[in-house]
Amino acid sequence: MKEQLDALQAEALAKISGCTSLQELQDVRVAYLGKKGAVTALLKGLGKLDKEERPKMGAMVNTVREALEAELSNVQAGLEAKALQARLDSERIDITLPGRTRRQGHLHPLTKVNEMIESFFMKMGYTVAEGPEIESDYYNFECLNLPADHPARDMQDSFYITDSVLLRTHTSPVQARTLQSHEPNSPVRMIAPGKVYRWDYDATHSPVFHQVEGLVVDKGITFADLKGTLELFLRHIFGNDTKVRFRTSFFPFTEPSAEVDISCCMCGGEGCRMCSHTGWLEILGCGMVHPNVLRLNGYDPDKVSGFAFGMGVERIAMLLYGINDLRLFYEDDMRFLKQF
Amino acid sequence: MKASLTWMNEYVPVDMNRPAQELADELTQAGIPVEEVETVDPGLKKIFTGKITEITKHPDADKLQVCQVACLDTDGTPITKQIITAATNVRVGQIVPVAYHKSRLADGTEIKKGKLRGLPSEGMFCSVAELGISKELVVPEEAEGIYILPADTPIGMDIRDVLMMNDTVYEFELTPNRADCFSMVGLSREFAVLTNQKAVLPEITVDENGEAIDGKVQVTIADGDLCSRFAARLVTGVTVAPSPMWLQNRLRNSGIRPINNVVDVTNYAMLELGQPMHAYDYAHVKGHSLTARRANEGEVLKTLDGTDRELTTDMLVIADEQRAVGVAGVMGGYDSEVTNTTTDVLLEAAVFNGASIRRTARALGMRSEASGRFERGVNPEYSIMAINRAAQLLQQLCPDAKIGKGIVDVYPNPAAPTTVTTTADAINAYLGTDIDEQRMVDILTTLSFDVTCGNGSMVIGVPSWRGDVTVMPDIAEEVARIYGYDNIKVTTPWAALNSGVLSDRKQMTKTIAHTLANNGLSEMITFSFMHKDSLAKLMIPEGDARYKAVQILNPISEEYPVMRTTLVPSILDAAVRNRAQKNHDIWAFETAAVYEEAADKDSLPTERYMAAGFMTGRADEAQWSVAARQTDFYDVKGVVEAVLAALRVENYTLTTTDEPYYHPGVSAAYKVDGVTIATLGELHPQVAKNYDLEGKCYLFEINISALLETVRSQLQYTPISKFPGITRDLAIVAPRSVSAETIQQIIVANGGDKLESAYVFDVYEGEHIAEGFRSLAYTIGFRSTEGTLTDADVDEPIQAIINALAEKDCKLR
Repeated sequence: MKEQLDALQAEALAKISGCTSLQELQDVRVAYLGKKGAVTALLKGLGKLDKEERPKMGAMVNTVREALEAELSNVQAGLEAKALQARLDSERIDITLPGRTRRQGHLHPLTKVNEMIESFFMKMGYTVAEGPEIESDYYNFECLNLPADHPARDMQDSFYITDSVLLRTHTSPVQARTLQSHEPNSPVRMIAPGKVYRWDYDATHSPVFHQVEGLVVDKGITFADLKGTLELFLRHIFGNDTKVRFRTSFFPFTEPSAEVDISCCMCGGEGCRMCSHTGWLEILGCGMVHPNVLRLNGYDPDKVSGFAFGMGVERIAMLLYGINDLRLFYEDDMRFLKQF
Repeated sequence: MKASLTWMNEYVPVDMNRPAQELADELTQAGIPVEEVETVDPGLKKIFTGKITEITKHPDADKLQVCQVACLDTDGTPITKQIITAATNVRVGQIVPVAYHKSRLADGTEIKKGKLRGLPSEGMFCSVAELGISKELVVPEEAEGIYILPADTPIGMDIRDVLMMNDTVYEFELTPNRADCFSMVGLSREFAVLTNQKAVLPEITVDENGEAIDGKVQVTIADGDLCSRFAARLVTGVTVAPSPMWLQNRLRNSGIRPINNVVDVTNYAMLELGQPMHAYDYAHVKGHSLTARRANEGEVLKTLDGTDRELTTDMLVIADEQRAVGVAGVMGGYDSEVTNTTTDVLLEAAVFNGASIRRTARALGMRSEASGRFERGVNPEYSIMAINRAAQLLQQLCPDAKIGKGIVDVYPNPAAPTTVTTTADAINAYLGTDIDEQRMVDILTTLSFDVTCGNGSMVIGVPSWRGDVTVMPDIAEEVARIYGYDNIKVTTPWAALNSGVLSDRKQMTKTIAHTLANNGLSEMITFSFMHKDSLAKLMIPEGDARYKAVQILNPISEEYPVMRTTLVPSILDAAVRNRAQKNHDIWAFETAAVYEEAADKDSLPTERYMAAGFMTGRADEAQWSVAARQTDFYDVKGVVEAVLAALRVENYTLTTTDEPYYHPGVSAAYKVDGVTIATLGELHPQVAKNYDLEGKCYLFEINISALLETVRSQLQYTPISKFPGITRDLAIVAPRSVSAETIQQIIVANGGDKLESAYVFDVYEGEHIAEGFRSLAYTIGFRSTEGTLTDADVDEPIQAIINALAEKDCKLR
């Protein structure tokens, strides 16, 4: 009997380990351990045996059953692992194909730069003010200490609508409008971004361009405050290593006046084509608000002082992004716009 | 203003060994900007003066001449060189520039000895162009042929020495306030203060060896508002001739063309002292009287350049007894100009009103060295110095000339000197500095300010040439610029805390731009100009308000005569430019102002802010994983509604639009309280054709200014239910005339209080659906805040919806 059982076990184990699929394995399981299986039949036959034989025989058959079950689950695990591996292998994809994207829109580089400037100054408590693009001679020139026939008017060739109305040549009229809208001598901290117009159209001049004006008026404002504010600002935009230089200049609406240069952001001040080998780039104009401007707009220069600055947004964008042609800003080629 | 450093050296020592750029940078920093540092020598090599001793015809060439030229060899020994030339202006005895063997011309050409038609030539003669002298800086005769040098020029001289080419010239880009720096003397003060030296004025002495001027010259200022000083001198027995080389060279290096000795000395005095001058031929000044008066109605003057100028009554002229003889401060008259036959010269040094000169020069289109100086302001205290300087030089150049005794000087209201009273503390408080009073005094004194200190205050006398200094901040700038802007330590302002804010309009524009960019559109910026023809291309009927555009008096080009009243032409032009570059997929927008004519003359035009967009080509980014789909109406509608949602504009109605540039069947308008806040649609095929835009193109416009007036909802949280909801799908067959909006409204109206959502997930017409009908499939969601819904709970509202739809002839499919 023992020999028969051993033979049965050996035969079953051989069939189990020979299985190559889960289905085959299931068939073998049924053939031996199923309701009508060979091992099941032996167990059923135990009842017919002697009382003394029964426990001994039962234990022997159970041993066979356990051996088969252990091998069955062993082989099953192996087959399952193999099947999983096969599936994983078959599902391998080309990860280098591009990912799926939604259509992406882009803000214009000038808007991006404007937002950078606005956000810096708003954090410092500046209000963002506005004024009309079609402006009166009064606000554009007269209130800014630029009376009729002042030679400095030549610095800005204007587009005229009538004798006394023109396209504003700078954002400075917003200074006058802001001061006039305030209680005299009350503190002012504002910037005014916007479009400005000058009668000049070539590779390096656009008749329409963008400026940001700044104005601070309060008790005890100094030229050193102006320097400090602009240094912080320029380092914020161009990086902490940027060197800032102030040069004496002239604007009718400020005194003292200065042009501000930054160390060339292309060569770091070594000298390159961008900075005409000077190491410096002209970036903005500024100064202490001329007492006449304060007076013309209802403020008393004996009580308060202030500073003002004005910068070209195109210039900053060109330096920041390395754009070498002003015209690109207004041609609106999608290949250009999509880079920002 | 150009300033020769060799010349400058006469007023203040200039360290010629120091790199010229260094001093230029220091001047620039101090507010006297040097635009360019020029080396006069264009790189000439081995060109020397020689004297032509013999000229014979070339035996084998009609057009060539064989010249024997007395020269010096490079070691100084006299030699004769044979030069063959085709030039026709060479004569025996002339001194000419000779380019030797292995010499170099201004353009870099190397000259070698060679043979011309069989005869050896040891070099060549040079023209002014070959020496690098600009045509504008020589008289027309000199520009032709070989440059003939003055007869007294020694032979064997390096041409660079003859022409003062070993010189460096600073070209200044001066600011309008520094009128004083439009002169060598003015600039010399700046050179001096920056190099810790003192500038020395030229010594001006005149030997008045002629008869008294009294009774020989009358000067009258008839219009005192336009002329503050008028001085005249008479010089007789003058021989008009070319100036000596030293004078010509100084003028040329300063960018001024030498003409003759008389004109040249007036220009020299102007360059040196800043006072423009004029010289008249005394014989041609009728009545020997000069009057500064406004031009008469219809008066015509032939100016030096031979042009008849029609003058207007606001222009100042200098007139003799009969007629105008010059446009004051702008250009002299032709008839009274100094010519080769002139013997008696009347010199004028006058000061005219800057604004008037500016207007006149502009009106006549004649801006000159003189007018530029008058515009900025000429110092009347220098007029006499200048007229004496010119006389002195003329006497030097023409030893036989006699200078009349005395000057006729009309100066009714001498300028009062300016004084500024301030304190060192006030200056320091303004600058935010801590500069010693003594340092300030030193700086100001070096700049010729007259400073008196006492009792803590500074009384500062301003020199006559510094008309730009009138108040304390001007003094502060003088101190700061010499102290050095860069030496001022930085601080930041102390101010009350305050939150920086954007205006409502800017905030809204920003939200719109960001929403559009987030929805796939790129931002464009175009010019604010327009041509009215483009309105016709948009099929906008004449009489539409958009034709009432703000006109520009001096437009930049014919293309852009008016300010735009709509953004549409600009963005269509941008689309055309993109198509030309083969950019087929365009989703782009712009936010900008449009301009409407002012209601009346006294007010400014109205500026209305708009956003406009253009969409065409693929709806999505071109990619392998998404089937290509072309942009359609619903893409545009989605974009516009995303903007309205971002702005929380909810109370709008959707209608059709009669905007003529849209396809009438594929366009819509959004209105709030009857006001159009946005329009969108397909570009009308005819308009697309007018612009040569192929394929379907879509546009939208959003009226930002109008949106600012609308009520926008505040963001409020709606509680979410804890219980699961239930959905039902309904496929509804509806007549085409029933809009999706109508069906949506029926569902909302009849869905009961548990209705949560309803959206169309499919629209179909075609096979299996009757002609004139279409099928719309909806997913309708219900949910309760009180418990889980069962199918039975929604049967009733679904039936109500179906019943209500049936009234509109809609059935379930």
